[in-house]
Amino acid sequence: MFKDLKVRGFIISLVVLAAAYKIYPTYQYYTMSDENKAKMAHSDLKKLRGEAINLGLDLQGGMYVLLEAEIPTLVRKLATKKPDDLLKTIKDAEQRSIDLQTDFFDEFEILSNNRELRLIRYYTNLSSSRDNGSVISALKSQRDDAISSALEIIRNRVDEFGVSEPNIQKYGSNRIIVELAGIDDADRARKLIQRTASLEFTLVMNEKLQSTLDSIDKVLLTADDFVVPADAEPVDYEPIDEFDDIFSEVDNTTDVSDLLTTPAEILKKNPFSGYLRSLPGGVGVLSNEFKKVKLLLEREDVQSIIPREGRFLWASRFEKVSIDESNFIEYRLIYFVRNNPEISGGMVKNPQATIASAGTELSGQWVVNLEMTPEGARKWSRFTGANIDKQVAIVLDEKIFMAPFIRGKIPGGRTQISGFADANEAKDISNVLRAGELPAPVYIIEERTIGASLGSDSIKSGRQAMLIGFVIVLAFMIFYYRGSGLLANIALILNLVMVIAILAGINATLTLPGIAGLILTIGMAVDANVIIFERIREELDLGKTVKAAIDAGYKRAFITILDANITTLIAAFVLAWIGSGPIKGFAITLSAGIICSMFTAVFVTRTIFMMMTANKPLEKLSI
Amino acid sequence: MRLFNHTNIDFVGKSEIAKFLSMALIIAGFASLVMKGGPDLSIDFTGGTIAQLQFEKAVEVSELRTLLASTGFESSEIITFGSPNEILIKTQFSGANTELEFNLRSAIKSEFQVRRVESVGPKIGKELQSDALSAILLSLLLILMYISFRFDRFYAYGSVVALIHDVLITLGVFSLLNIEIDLTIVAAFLTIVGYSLNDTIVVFDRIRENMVKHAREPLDTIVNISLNSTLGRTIVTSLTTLVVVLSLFLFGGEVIKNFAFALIVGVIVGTYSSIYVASPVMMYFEKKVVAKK
Repeated sequence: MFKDLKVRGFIISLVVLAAAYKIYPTYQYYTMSDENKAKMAHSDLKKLRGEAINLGLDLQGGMYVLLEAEIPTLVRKLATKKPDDLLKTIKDAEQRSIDLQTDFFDEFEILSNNRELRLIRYYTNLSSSRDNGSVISALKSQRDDAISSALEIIRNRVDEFGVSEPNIQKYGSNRIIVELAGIDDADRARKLIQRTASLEFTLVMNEKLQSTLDSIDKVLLTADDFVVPADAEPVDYEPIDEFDDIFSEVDNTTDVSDLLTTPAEILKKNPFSGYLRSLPGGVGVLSNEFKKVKLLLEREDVQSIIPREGRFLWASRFEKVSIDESNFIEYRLIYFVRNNPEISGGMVKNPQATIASAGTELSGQWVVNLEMTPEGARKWSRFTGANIDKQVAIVLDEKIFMAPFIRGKIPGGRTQISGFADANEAKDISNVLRAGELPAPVYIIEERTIGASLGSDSIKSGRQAMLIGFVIVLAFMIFYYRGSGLLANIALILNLVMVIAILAGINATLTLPGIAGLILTIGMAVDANVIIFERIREELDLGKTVKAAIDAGYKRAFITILDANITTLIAAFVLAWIGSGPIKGFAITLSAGIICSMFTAVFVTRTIFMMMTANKPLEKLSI
Repeated sequence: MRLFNHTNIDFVGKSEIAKFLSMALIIAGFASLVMKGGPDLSIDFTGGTIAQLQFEKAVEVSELRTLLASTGFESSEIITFGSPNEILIKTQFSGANTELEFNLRSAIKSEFQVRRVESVGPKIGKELQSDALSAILLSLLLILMYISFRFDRFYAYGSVVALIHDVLITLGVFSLLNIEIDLTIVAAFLTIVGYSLNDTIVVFDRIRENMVKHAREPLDTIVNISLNSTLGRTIVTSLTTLVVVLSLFLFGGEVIKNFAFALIVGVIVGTYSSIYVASPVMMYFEKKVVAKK
């Protein structure tokens, strides 16, 4: 197979081209000046960043936090009766699960059964079946809800930092990973992550909006330090080249928010309200103007003019709306709400996302049902009765998640919220509402914060170590193997290019151990060529012709290379599988390096040898 | 250029000396481990907090110690880290580190920058410990299986004994030099395992080939021929690998230094063991079984 030189040449060029294609965005992103990045359209920059190799937190600086929800506390809280033997069983199960590194619920079930505790007695309304197993699984689903709620709370808060791409995910059954890149105030982040959530229901005061906006405009126009911005530079709008998208996800819509910036003409008259427009769901601001408006709103003179009874709050996230077949805009809604909340989180009980039962008006749609404490129900009934057809904002940590209309007076606290597009939306809201019930307490159990300066130092020294190692290895190979060493060096360079392309291709994150893996790869990747060259030398010693020696050398050496590399790969795969974060980065670069070396050191160098011996038989080999 | 042309070294004959050398190294490391009551484990495994601070000028560690001792950092370890401007404070795990930076700032009067804070709860430490252990055991097991499949069990015994030998010696060296074992060191151990095996297999492969070619020769001679003919490759690859890990050790920065050091020890020990440990052990088992027959 692959005897034909043309076929070999074609395969190699294809690989090189594909590698260059994958590396280009990384090169582009990291060589671009901040100035140019600022000029670039929001969505294009995001796309470019997505295609470039990410730097790990240890290289760009940032914070990694592992949080754990205290499940035993949750289980204790959920019990309706709390006799000593139940509390003791919970405590023992907790201790056992720590000692034996097992799941708390497994231990809890075993201990309850052993001690003949009938759990249904203490968790009366959780489960319809009466055996311990079903109570445990009901408790487990309470745990899952608590974690989802904690996730929602943290996601919402992290927004505060303006971190470009925070990573927040569930880990195992009761843990949450939070990764914040480029954070410079770790103390603030820690506090924010661990703060107790605040949930409230408050009235949206649409009738006060216009007058408030007018007075803000007036304040800004008379302020000495305020300059009406000039027209934003027009952004070139290029339709996406179809060819360009062959390798990427099919996404034929484009964010054109940048094209719709508010003209200076309007801002001259309405420096604040000019940015606000009527958008689906209410009044909002385009994504690319969001920061400007937020800063204006935070000005002291602006804050002092806002009526005391209310405040502006942002929606929890950006919305998208298509404006035609291929374009969409991104925006964020803003509300003017009453300062004194009607209902606080502690009054909300038992929120559930469910499909509305058959026979009702909303039959088949997703809704969220909730109940209230007696005190909450009383207040809620009065409030809803007085504000029919107005909006009530569901506010978590100062962000509005939803602002449904009040359809009528709600006596008794049983409330239904409708208007969800799908199950996920409804579940998100029920998670937000659960935040008020104070779910399981969440604690930081692992934290790694790297300062940006240490990160850039690591990049610098890593790059230096790599360069020095690389140059010495290249020089040594030429010194020891002469012309053939040059071939090995070409293979080595190609190997590094391919590894970087693979990292970019699989969206891997480059960590400091990852750089170490690359450096190690330089040393180990030449091994395949060393094995081949030594073998060719032996064959030449036996008096074979150059061509025969090369053929025999490659043939025998390949099996050795394969066997030897597979064992290193086994160790690297186990590391990639069990290891976390930085270690994974090391394992991935090392595996990629080894796999690529089999292609570059065997296939590529062989092809060059074949090219050399194709037309005229070689008398002498430089080896 | 060729350094090891047609060498004819009697490696097998010298394996008795090697046996003593290896035993001595392992026992020395073991003694040090026993005296300390186990390896120095980092906060990754024991739980705890480290903070790396950078000052504008060199700091006197002893001064800092007295400053911090009076403010709740009595049991902390304080050492310089890399440059004299940087120090590392190792203290207990305290949950959130919200107060840590504040307390440090109020205790230490001079300006500093917090370069790094790492904090691991005791529960996570335990988990990371068992993860690391299972990673090492699992890869050893898989490698054993692969070698038994590709060669035969005698080769597998030889290579695994060599691997355990390498990791034990590296562990001992770390203990003797008081270097802490953290997560990255475990990754280095596994890399050593992979690397040392790579070396061993090249030799084994040649032995297997020569068993057919020189079927009439005794095993000792075959092994010697094989070791000699692969010697050039063994040395060259070890050299190139050593060059890059040395470069990593010298220029790669303080954070990765111990990792690079583990690799340096591993490459040297791994090269040695593929010549002097793996093959003799393989021969030992092979001869034992042949003798029984």
